[in-house]
Amino acid sequence: MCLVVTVVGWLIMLYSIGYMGGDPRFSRFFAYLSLFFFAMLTLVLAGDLLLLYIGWEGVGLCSYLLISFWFEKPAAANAGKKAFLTTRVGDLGLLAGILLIAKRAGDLSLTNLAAKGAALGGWAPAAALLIFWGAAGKSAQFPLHVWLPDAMEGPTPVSALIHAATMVAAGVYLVARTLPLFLPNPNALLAVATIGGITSFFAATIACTQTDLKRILAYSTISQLGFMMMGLGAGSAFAGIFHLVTHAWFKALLFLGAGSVIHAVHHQDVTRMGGLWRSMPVTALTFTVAAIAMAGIPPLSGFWSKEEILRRLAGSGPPFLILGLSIAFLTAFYITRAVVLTFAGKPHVIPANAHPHESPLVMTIPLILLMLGAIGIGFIGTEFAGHRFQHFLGIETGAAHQEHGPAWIQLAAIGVAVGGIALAILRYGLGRQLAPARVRGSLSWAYRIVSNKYYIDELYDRLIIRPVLALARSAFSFDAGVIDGAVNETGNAGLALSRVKGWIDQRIVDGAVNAAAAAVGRTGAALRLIQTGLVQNYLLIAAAGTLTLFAVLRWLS
Amino acid sequence: MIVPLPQLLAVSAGLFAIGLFGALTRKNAIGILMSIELILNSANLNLVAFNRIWGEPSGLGQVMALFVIGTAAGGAVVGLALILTIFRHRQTISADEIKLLKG
Repeated sequence: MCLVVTVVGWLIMLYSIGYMGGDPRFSRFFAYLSLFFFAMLTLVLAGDLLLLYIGWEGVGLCSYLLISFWFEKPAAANAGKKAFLTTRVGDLGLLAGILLIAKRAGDLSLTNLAAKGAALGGWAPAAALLIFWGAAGKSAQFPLHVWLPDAMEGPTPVSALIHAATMVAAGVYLVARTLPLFLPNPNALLAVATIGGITSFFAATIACTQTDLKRILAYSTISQLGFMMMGLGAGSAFAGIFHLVTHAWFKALLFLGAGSVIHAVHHQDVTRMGGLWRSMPVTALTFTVAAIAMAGIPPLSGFWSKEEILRRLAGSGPPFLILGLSIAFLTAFYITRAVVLTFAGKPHVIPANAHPHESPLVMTIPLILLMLGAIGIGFIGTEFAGHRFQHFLGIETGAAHQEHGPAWIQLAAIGVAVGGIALAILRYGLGRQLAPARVRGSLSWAYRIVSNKYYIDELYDRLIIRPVLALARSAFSFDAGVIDGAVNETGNAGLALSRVKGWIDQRIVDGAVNAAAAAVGRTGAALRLIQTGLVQNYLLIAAAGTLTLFAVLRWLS
Repeated sequence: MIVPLPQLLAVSAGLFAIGLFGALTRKNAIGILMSIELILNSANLNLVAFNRIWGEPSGLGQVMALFVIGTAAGGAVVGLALILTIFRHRQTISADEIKLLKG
């Protein structure tokens, strides 16, 4: 995981130099990216849940900052807010889980989790589910997946790094790390697998209907994350982590390829692209290789990890295996559709005078390196490489990884992948309709629901956002009417009282003061009259005064 | 011949009255100064006269009179200097026209 973050991240940073070139906030972008790496590595290398939680919140913050990096666009600013608030709902669960473990087990380190599970006793399933709740928020699992498609408003390297390869995988990583807590509780595992399966299947169906290249990839990411969760839910940390690693390579490559295309044609609508392989051969080649890897064609990396998960699911029962196979089929279908619509066929780039061109070397070299990874990284987990990856992961895999599922699962996996690719080429490459017009007409309502993402955003809008807004508005009117009213009336009362006091002050207090001053003034005016300035007058007064004094003394004696 | 005390006091009182009258009525500042000298000398006469009756053999009254004469000389010097300065500034020494301190 650490290697995934640093190696894939390094390639994406290299690519960003070309993609973000000329952006006015170029250096801020790299500062945010570096902050993200710091937080992500803290998360990955943390030895206890508290430190992990710090990194967890750190990557959430960076995700917010980078999604709304072009905050002049209202859509980007809103997407950042949505991502932050939605993941916050998940983080609440993780925090509650951590607190529960701290309270009941008294120790947050990630070692000896099985013993902690025993110490938790009856609380263990609750703690496991709370942690999974947090992971669902971060890894965009149903029903907290809504933020990830909107997060595509951010710069494409960010989508590749945070919303495909690393940060969203943190939820999977967290569940894999804490899997010993889940293992003794079949119900918790079942919840993980069910949520993962639902998420994966319905995101895959949405991806089949989207026309925005980056949104296709976003739903694909949700679907693959759900797939990893299914693997974890089947009780195998190895299967989930293995798919996480391979997925990081080919999904980062898909996103960077998409970024390269967007860089060239300046829009994201696949229905307005086509024939781009002529003008962008390197991008087309790498994107196609990544698509095949994701579709699960051997010997590319996606096949090995996907087959590993399917083999686990076979142990969880037929419903999960069927669900997994249908997801694999849909994956092959939608990614082939994206490749065909973007690169094959006739060029009909709009506007017509635009000349799409291959991206500069600083962008294509990371693509090629990622392509090599997407081809080769799967071998580390196969028997050809002696299960090196399993041994590397050590304890978490347990002994179960040695067992091999029935061979028909591999064949089935290849079969559905080839089938999906073939159908997509038939439909979008050759332009054949897959079903008679009557069937299509009767199923158009289903298409409408799926292409509107099952109306989940609208549902949340009705059920949560509007009631909250209404509550906020009523609270505001209460505030404005009652509390402000009380405050204002207090103010008015104070004002009236002040007026009375002012009147008293002006009329009575000031009157007394003025009267005293006026009396002094008048006395002075009277006394001025004897100050004539003539020295003889003073002398006369002195003489007269002396005589008077003598007369008084005489009269007294 | 020894002049009896009542006559001396009468002369003194007359001198005082003349001086007071002059000080109150003269317009010329120098005249006022001279009148004040008369008042002082009437006081001197009193001091000397009473000294002859109660002051022997100390002569304290005569000493007092000498002090008064000295002080009066000093006062006259200061007064004349003031009058000279006022004249330089205002070209007059009439007491009626000098009323800078009028309130």
